[in-house]
Amino acid sequence: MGGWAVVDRAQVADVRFADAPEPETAREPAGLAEDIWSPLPPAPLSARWGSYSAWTGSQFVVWGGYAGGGTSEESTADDGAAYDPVAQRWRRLARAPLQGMYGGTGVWTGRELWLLGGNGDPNGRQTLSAAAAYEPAEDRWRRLPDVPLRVSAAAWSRQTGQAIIAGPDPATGDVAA
Amino acid sequence: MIASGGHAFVVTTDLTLALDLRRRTAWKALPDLGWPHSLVQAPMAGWTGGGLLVAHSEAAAVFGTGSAEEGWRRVSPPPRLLSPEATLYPLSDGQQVAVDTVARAAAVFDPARSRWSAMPLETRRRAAVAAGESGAAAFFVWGGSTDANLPFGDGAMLPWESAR
Repeated sequence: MGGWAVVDRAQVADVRFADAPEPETAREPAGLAEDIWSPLPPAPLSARWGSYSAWTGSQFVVWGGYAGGGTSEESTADDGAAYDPVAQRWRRLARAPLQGMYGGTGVWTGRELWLLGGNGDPNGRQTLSAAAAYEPAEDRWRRLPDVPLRVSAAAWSRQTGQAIIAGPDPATGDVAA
Repeated sequence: MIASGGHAFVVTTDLTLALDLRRRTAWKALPDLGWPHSLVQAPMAGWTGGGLLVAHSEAAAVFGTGSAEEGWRRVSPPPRLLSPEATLYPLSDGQQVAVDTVARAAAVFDPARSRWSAMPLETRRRAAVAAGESGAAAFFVWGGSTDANLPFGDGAMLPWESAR
């Protein structure tokens, strides 16, 4: 597998074009239905926020996150679980080759959940470039090359089989991808 | 960021950028939508199958990437109850589900139809979410926090049949 490549810097100077659409007219909101969501059973994970997540086609995978909130047990989480909506059951994931992270970016490739960087300490001051891939079918992890950016956004291109990431350039602070 | 149709898109408050993944040329700024800045503080964006959908609570447009259809065309806006916190996630068939965990609302969106539901969860931010492009469930929400960073450990799912 190849590493990361910076493909280009965003050129954002000459931006404006004519032929802008007309403003949209307002319309009334539709009504709310209250009964179509289903609560999930309790997960084998501590309460947390900023987790990485993906739908695999058969399971909802959650990993990492931060259990902050003024308790003595605040910490970044290094565990995860997957929920099967057909079996209505959670299972714990194999141990990841990563320290606890939160607030990073996850992307589903069609076979693996890629975790791309994040924060490693409660104050958000420890930016992590670590990356790893989780394969739900085998319950198996592998490390990926570290990401070259602090990843703000990521997407997987099915056409090209590539992950595209964007974030501030470490040298200039400009948006890079 | 969205990567579909051979392109990657970055949608910001001020402009939309596109990168042709096959040619790897420079990022291209798409034509300005002309929306008042106050309305597009946090636009939602997603791939509809026919192009890039960019929307906020009062307007929406699709940018076609084909050579014959390149350019913006207006489409029906998502329901107004969605707040600027709402985000679009892809479903199958180019549909998008707009989910707002702050307003506890969700809407399945396509140019022809939208349907509303309210999540049975407390208002929250930074939840783990995932949209199901296939399978038994269309959308999941789990965890997250209050504005004071108190974490949640519960979640809910939107069954696929309900979403369609």
